[in-house]
Amino acid sequence: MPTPDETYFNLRRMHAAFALAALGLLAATVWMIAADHHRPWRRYQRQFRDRIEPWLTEAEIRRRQTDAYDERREALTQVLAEALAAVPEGDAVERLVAELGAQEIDADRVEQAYGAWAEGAQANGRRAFFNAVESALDVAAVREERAARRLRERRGAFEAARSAYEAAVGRGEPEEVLAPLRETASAAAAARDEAALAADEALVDHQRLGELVAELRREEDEARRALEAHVAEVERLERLLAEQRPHAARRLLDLPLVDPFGGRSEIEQIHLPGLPLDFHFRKVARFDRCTTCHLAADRALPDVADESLLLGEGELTDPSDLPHPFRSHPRLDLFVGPNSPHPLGEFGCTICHDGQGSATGFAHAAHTPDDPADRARWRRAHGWFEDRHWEYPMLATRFTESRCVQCHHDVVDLEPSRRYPDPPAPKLLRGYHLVRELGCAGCHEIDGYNEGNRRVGPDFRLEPAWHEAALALAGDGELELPLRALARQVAEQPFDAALRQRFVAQAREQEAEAETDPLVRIERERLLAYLEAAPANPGQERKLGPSLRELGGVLDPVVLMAYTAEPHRLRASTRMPRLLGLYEHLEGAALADARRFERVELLGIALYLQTASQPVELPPVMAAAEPPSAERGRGLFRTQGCLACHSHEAFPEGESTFGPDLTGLGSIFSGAAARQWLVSWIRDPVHHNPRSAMPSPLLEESPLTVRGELEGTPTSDPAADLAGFLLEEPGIELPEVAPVVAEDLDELVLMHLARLFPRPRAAEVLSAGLPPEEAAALGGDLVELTGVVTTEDKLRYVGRRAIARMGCYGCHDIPGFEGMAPVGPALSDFGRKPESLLAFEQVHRFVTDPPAAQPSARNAEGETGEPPADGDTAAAMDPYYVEALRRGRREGFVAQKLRGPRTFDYRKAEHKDYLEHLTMGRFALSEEEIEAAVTFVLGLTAQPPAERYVVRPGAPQEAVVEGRKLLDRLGCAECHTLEMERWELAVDPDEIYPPPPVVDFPFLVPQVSAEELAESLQTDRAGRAGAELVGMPRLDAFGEILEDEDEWGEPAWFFTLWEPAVIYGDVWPVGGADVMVSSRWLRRRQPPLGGDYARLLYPHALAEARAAGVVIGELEVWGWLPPPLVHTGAMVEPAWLREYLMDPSTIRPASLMRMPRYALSSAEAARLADYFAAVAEPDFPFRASTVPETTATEADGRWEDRWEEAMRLLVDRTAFCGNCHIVGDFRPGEARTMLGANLDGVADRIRPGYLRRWLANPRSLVPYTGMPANFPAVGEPFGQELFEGSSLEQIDAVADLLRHYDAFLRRQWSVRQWAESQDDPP
Amino acid sequence: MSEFLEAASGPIGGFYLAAAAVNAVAAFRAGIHRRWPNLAAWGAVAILFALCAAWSFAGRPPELPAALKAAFDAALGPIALLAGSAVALAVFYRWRRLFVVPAVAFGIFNISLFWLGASLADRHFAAIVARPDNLPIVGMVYLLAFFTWLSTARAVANDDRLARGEPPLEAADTAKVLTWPDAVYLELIGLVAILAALIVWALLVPAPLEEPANPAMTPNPSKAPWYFVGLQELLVYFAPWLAGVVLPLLIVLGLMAIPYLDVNPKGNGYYTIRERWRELAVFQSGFLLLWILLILIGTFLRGPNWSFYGPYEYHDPVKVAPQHHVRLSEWLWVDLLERSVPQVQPGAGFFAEWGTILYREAAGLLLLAAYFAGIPFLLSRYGLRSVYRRMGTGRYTILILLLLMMLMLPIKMLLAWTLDLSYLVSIPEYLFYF
Repeated sequence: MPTPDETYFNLRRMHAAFALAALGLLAATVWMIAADHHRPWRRYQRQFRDRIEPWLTEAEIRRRQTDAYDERREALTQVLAEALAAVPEGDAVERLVAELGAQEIDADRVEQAYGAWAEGAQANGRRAFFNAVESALDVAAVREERAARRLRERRGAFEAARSAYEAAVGRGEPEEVLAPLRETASAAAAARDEAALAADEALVDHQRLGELVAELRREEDEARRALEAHVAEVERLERLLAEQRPHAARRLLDLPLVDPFGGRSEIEQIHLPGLPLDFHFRKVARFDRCTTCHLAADRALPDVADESLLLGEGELTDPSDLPHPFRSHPRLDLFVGPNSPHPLGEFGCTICHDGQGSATGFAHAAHTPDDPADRARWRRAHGWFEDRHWEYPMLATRFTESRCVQCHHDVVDLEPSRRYPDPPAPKLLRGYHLVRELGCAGCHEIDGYNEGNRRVGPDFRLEPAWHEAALALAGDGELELPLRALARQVAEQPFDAALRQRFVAQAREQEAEAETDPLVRIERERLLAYLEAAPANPGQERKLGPSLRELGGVLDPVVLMAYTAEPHRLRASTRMPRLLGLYEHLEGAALADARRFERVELLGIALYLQTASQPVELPPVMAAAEPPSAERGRGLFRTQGCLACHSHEAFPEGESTFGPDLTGLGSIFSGAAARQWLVSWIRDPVHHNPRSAMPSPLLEESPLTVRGELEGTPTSDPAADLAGFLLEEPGIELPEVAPVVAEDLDELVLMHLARLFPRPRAAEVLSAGLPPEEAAALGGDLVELTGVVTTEDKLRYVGRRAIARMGCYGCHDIPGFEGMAPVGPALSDFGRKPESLLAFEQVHRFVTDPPAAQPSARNAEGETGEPPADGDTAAAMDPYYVEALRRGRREGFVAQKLRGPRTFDYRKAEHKDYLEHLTMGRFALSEEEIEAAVTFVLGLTAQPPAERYVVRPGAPQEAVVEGRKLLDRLGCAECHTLEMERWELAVDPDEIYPPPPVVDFPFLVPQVSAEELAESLQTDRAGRAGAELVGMPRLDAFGEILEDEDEWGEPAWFFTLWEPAVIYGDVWPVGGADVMVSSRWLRRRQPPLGGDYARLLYPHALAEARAAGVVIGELEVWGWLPPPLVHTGAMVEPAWLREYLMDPSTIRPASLMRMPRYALSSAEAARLADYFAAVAEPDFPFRASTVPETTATEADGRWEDRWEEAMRLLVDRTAFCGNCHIVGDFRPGEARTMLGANLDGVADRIRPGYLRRWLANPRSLVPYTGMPANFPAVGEPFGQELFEGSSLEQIDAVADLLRHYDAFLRRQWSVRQWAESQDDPP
Repeated sequence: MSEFLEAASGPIGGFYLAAAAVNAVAAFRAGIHRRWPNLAAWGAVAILFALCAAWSFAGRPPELPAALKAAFDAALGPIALLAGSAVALAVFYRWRRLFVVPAVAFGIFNISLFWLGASLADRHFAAIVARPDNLPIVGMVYLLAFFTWLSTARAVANDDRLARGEPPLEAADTAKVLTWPDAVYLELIGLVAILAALIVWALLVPAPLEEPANPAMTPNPSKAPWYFVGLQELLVYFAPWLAGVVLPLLIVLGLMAIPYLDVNPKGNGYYTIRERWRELAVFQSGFLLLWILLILIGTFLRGPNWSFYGPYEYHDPVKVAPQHHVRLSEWLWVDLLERSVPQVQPGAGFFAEWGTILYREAAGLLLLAAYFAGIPFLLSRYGLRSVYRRMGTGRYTILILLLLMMLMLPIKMLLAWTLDLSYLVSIPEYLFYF
């Protein structure tokens, strides 16, 4: 069949179509390649590799090529030149010639060349000489080579012969065949051995010659090596630079399509199998490719700001100026850097920042703009869009710190430390403390543990309210008295499980016998069941607000109402949120409802608190001779520690916010009963509330005015004086209480009842009440509505419901609400809660609607008494948050909840009934505080990464962290300095002067290693040497830093060391001279941790001492103030410390105030003791020092024999201890201002090592102490008439006596003799 | 300029530019064939589109008036859509002679392009229609429209030829063609062109990556893949087992049964409408109205909580569309008879239980019986007597049952949307609902 040549389609058109399609495909392919080639990350890499990297290398070269570098290179070059010029000594040449002769190598040429060179006859004598030497050496080398070759040949021959022989053996050839073969092999072996010997000889000859030649060249070689070593790094960098600089071949390799085969751009990624991403079905290893663009993230560039980095006009000068994405991480000491705790390879990026680590594009990496301007810029520049499909978008920069929480569950370990003086996470810490201080956890559970008791985050749960339940039962008049006493005991030791169980068992027993009202029985049973429960892992936080268990009944209801309604009006600084009168979002009927019903609820709350309160048991009043004086109280307020935690407008210098501001208490404690209660409270808060945050202050009549006498009857009651002072101001006029409208009350009660009963039944209950049995069965607040329902009953019911609804019991101990669950939603995993589950409602309209459209503009004014909080309107709001609310972002939600918690009801409340309105209160927070709190809350993810990433402190660190939390809660740092001030210096070696020479006992001389000394001598590029001072600057009489001028007329300060300092090779001991610090040296001042109150009191104490005519040094005044606790762990015995913390006794009678008594459990006291141990001692946990009954020296009988002599030193009033110290019942003669501690308890209190050092030189431990060094290290020892011996012997003897004080006393007094003397009739 | 327009005006401009190019080609062709009015018309349209493109690139794309958009949103309910589409289809076939004129069709195509362009300037419309994974559906609409038009145009031509006694176009075309180059070359060109088009598409509209699946947090709305969205839509009106199992099975079986049910030899191998308009009507309404339209509704008009949203409406998750669907039995017993619905007593025996159930659901069962048995019977006697005769009982029954089942969908939709009636028969005891 012939092939048809006619086609159906026109072939030409087909070809055209094909050509068109093919061209299209080509174009598409080219486009695809171009698009890939221009992906931003490739662009960044080219930019980095072509420009930035060479620039960085160049900067590094310049950094190294200093003048010193050049000088040294010059010097080394010079040395080399000299070495080249030097003519080697004749001896060496002779030895060489002799050796050559011995090896039968022609040495004439060498000799002649040397002669010519030494005489200088030849121009290049050196070259000629060494040429001759080399050629002679070459002869030896050739000989060696040839001998070695011969050896190789003979080895080969032998191996061949041997294998031929062995093969014949293997074949089983007869002996006659074998014999010649064996012969041949043996002969070959002999030849081989001969050759081996010759080869070894040739080798040795060559080596010997080589050594001789090397000897001739030694100087030259050394000089060359030194020079090479010196320039090696710079040359390496220069070679690197040459490689990095773009050149044609490289550009060729970077072309599209070629670049996969040698181009330099490639995706870089960090594989993190230990930090998996939760993809819901399974965990997937994390890949972070961020470094594909952020190429210099981990580049540490020292001395970046140095002027030597200047690269010329218009160029970048400082790597921190590098534009993104080339900027290096701002905290390389903490993150990314190889020596940081979070190295890049181990942690990656997204574990902290979030975002899509696998992405290689800007938008898909889920970058999040920090402000709307960035957002707009990113959209334009990077095609950014909000990728809602990645669940963990990068955190906006402002919230980055929040992610620390996922591993640092305790958060306080992020406080600035010695290693990281720059605060690692200041905003987060602030938020953490805010959340704690505002008591967020009272309403919102923040549980740090998941079901398996695995730690997953910070834990803020309230402690079980056992003490509340116990107090309620202790106030139950129908219980028998012993049982009530036991309940009181339980309230005081609520964590004693055995005690609780015993009490519950007894109470149940009694209950079974008695016949009680069902309502009472059900309430009692609730409390008992609560006491009985024993959670495995209870919370630890205490409620923040004052207990209203008694106070509700003591305060005037008008006060209660006014305070509840507008807390800030009565006390501007109160932490209590505003819960009522938040109307800015309301209008119309909803507004009217809120007004009507809140008034009713307010009355109800006041009435409930008043009637439900338990009667107050006031302790007996102190029989004071004088009536209370506000003037005395004012003085006491300052000196007795009140100012440490509280502030008051009479003392503007007191800035502590640890406790409430006590200005204007007169408004609150207005009635007589309230005043009396306040006096009692001041005297012993713990008696009124066993879990009070305020300690019992153990007031003294104080201060210097009454110091003359140690004993005697008190002439006034300090608590009453203080109350007098606090209530001096009458306080503000309280608003009139509007009478309750009966209809409103009924409507509200009905609204509540309608949730429990059908409406007709609810109306019935309202009018006729519930039968007690039914109320008991239903439980809860309905008990108020039993029997005949009066207006008061309804009010109490409404009040009780309001308390429950608003969760007042989250902060206050309120009768009837013991152990109720928190009212708000839990926050434990808020940071990962899906945003779609958050009810934003119409709040974004509230913040974006023009203010005129907002109800607040119409009705807020004049309603509140509190100025409208900042940020009520969008105008004042950070646009970031407006955007966040518009986009439905988590952070916007929390921030707005804090800013205007009820505004989520905007345009929503009109269709809710009043009881459905939101109830969260508004806290008085600044925008910064809100952001800090949000930062913390965002960190609550409850999704810790793999175990090894989570910070699990070792025992000492844990003790520090736990102790730190407790210290924070108790406010120890308000009075005591926990860490001394640190000054970082950069001293000019020419300006620093050495310390005045001190000769001290060898065991007191600071131990400084040679390395430390050498390190202190190192200077930076500016020629300054670094040093660190720890201690406190000297203060003047006004408490300001004492300022002087240095030689150059610049300010200078005096610094008292508390730790030995090493300054440019000199060791400055503690207790020696102050360091004069020129302001030009100071690089950084890290303020002390705690002790504000001591510093506040210092000028005052000094002034008072001066006024009273007491002779005391400026430094010694510190001894009257709360002492720094920096040495506590090294100083005291832990057992003693625990006991002391639970019940502090007077140690230093001279001090202005006593340590207050906290309501601590023994476990808490132990935690504090552990903290001090862990801070001070490397060998944590420290144990009590065992005081051996007989010491080694005592075994000799030496000290024991001399105890009595030592006792003489102890009680000597002229120069030794007895001058100031009480010893047992022995009193020194001095006034109380100089009194030292009673020495009879030293053995229990002070650790032995510390005691010895203390006796030898007290100022080397506590620089301000008034105690002199009684036992001089040099010169004649004192008190030879009392105790003959060297100072050291005296010290040891006194220390030994103090440690064996009891044993000494036992010796003095014989029980047997006493008993016998009793037997004898007088 | 809003963020949306900032991002969208470029692509919209590109869209108009493409539309202008299409019209320019059309004008060019008209010029070649010396059809001057067409040249003028398409040239003008091309210029108009080019102007639109210019405005778009300047950041001000033409937009539909807000009132019109609101009217669209208000009017486009499911019933209006279904009824409107049915009417549009009827109008199209009734006046097909007008619509098959290429200029008319191209004009309508241009109007639709302008409408699409102007709608894309609305961010709520664009958010749904221009979603990368919804773009194929838009393409599908235009493809379907084109092929429907093409088949109709050829059918009209054939019908005319048949009326004149000439053979249909396809019969005239008897020439044999070569595998190479006629078939294979064409395929090669198609392959190359499609590859290029896919590359360009991928470059312009990268595939969207969504979040990792989370069994605890399903997306709202959770949509089936586009080819199943129609079935998902059925779930609104039918019980899951019916919509998910029985109906798809019936569709497949029904399609398989067509050659056995439809033995009319007319129209084999050529396009015609006049010779088999009934079959065409059944098929086109089943395919276009009950399948494609449901896909479009499910893809574009269903939003969070599977609520119905107008094309220009923001898919606000807050929107709640209450559905107080009542069962027929409830309606009958509670509202009509004012008695409580008979309940199966706990522990009742088999017969007692089924007695109660049948008693309770009697009305629905009777209705269904009337629908599935009565109507076929009556039709076999009166309406479709000839068909019944021709096909015989077996094939007639199958045909009529399939048709009735198909018709059930619009009926159920109507019942649900107008009378709030959900199930005619509901036997929760055995998870049976109809």
